[in-house]
Amino acid sequence: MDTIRRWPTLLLPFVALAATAQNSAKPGTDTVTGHIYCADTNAPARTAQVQLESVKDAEQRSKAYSHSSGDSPTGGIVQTALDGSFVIPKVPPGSYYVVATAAGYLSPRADAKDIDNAEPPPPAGQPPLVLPRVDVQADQAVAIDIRLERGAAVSGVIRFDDGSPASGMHVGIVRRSKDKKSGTNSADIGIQGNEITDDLGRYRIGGLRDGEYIVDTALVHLDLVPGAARGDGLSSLMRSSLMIYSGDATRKSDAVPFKLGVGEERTGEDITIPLSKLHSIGGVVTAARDGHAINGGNLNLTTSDGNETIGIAEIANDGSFHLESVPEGTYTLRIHNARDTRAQILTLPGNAYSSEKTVHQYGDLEQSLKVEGDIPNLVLAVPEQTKQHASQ
Amino acid sequence: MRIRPLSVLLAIPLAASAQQASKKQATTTVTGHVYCADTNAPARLASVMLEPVRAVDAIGAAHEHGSSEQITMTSVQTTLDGSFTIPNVSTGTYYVVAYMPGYLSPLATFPADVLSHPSAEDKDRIARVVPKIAVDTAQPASIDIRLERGGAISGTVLFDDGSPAPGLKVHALVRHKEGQKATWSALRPTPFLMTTEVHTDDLGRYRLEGLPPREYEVQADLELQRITIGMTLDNSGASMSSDSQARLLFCSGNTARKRDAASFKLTEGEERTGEDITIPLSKLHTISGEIIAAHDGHLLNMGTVQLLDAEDKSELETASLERADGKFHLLFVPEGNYILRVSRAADAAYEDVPYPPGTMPRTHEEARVARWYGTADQPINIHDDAPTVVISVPEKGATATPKQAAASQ
Repeated sequence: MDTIRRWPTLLLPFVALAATAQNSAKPGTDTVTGHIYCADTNAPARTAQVQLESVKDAEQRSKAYSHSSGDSPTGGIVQTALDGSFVIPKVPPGSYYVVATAAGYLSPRADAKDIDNAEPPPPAGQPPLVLPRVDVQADQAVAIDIRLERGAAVSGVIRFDDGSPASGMHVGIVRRSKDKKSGTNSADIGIQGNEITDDLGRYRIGGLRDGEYIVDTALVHLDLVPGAARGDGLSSLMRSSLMIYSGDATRKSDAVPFKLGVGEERTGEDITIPLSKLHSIGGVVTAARDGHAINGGNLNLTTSDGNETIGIAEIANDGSFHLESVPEGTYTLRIHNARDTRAQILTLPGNAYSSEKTVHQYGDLEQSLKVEGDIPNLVLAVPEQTKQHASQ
Repeated sequence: MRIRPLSVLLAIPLAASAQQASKKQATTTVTGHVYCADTNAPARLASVMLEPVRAVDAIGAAHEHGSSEQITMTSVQTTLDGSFTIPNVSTGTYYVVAYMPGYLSPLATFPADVLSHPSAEDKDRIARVVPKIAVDTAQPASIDIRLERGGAISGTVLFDDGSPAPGLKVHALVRHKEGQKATWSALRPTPFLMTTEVHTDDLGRYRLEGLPPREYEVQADLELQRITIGMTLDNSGASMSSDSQARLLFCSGNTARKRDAASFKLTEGEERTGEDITIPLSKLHTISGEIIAAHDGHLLNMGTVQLLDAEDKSELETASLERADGKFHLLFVPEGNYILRVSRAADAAYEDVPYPPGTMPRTHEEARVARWYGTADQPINIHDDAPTVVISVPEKGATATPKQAAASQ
């Protein structure tokens, strides 16, 4: 569903299929029409997106405590015309939430993006915002007008500490909830932001509700390597990743949050990446039993209290790894899922596919690491898998 | 997981495969540095790719023969000191293509259509401007690259009531000569198939960067789309398709007519601001209508209508007869003189064809053409909405006599 929410930018790969779009009216269905307005200007919301979401589906999703389970917008997604009007034809009878989205305006759909994962999901059956609702009965057209409230926006510049702009950086925003728990999860690492800094390092995130936020950006080294077979696409290899938070903090617990008022336009939320205080760690992962290089697996570096992941990397084909940007400090370095792999090439007529086959799985390795400068040649020997692990 | 925009680059269809996986070859490592020429600072997190010279040379040939083989290249990112390492490179000569937002990619100085169909002369120019490296697997190779800062164009796209036009796609067009004729074509300031689409933000602002000095026009794409979502009931698979309900391109100079577009010259590294485009909403009208058979006046239920500029016959918009109401709708028509050109007009029978069980929607509609008709051109003057245009099409093979559209007058 993520792809659908990010529709405006991701739309293009889909080929227009004019024939499927406009079918003749089916008996027992009806049309939902309406207008979308901007509450702040009273102007029509032009080219806004509108979709219907079955109330039943939404309840089920809330019960399942999941933001992301599949909900198919009934009747697809339509854009409003230049007068703010929309038409969704062929809607089967039932109750629907009418979800309207316009850039810069508050959308209930923003939830999945801006709420800290620590926040509990809304109670069962209750959508996070009060969503407009329509009841469609067979062969009765329904009309609804919706007013969208202008959201707050935050903008700033991401730069390196020598003053040069950091372009192409993904920037994310996290809303702090009241009962915030410390700790990290997979969504905190890697690359989560939707906004990408321009060539001057600038970003802007709009359509936000009032609240307390932190902005983060990921300093990521990503290589694209060809697949093993001819004709394969490129796969990505993450060499290293470091998150930097509001207040130039490299730990989320040190982040300096800021408050956004209703509809506030906040500028100057800059982040400086403290390059001069970052070090690189490189080396090779080998098997303890015979010293040969392992060609698959993941590394992560957590704070010594184990609460926060500072960096992650993947082991390259030659057993090497690089964490390019590690702040000074004492960490726990952990290797998991270490394995010997072999590329398998499956040849089918006219095409070849590659897949990776694990030949041997190793046990995890954990060790303490103090970083005060660059560490270029770290050799990490992973043990054999213990019996307990193997049986799992 | 989201990755940087360059990930859109997947497999590049080019002729002559460079890396044959089936056969183990001797390889070496190519290292180097990328610097920003304007600041002498390292180009951090820039992308670096090696492209076999042989493959680029063969692009033209592949197009001529209608075949293209796929090759894949490694793309690495420079580290924080601007250095890069590309492992597993076979013997050969390669172009070294580096890319960083805001900077000129040497290949960006060539319009997209030149890159896909380079002439012998173009290939010569490519060979001169793009850094090359000869790799011999006996020893590691090294190259340093300096990237020149490109120009940038920025501005705001607004509707004529002052409200911003968010989410619109914006392109830069460059002028280049093709024989005697000057043509405008899209410029993609990124190498090969990397796509970086520029959309206006919620304030209607856009910024195009990494541009070489040339004569430019900016184009904003006002488009209404409709997305259809299909999926299997167990959510194991989903597909999306979109179709454009209406689309009109607005050029610099606030016009939808290409010949009225205002162009400007961008100098080397120029930061050009204020290239705003206002979409004249109050002067946009709609045309709706029907297509009938000339011989007996019955309504046709299939056909496409193009809106052509009356003078230079360039196309502004296109619409098909819709199944819902049997009419065509051109939603964004600026005031002026046009020709409505009907093609693919037919009497058709529509029937629901089921998809495999367990998919949504359950059926889709297929058309069976019973009878095709000829094409017709109908002049029309638009100064207000034209809701009831009727265009009659002749028998197949005949040509229609132009008639003034009465409805719009």
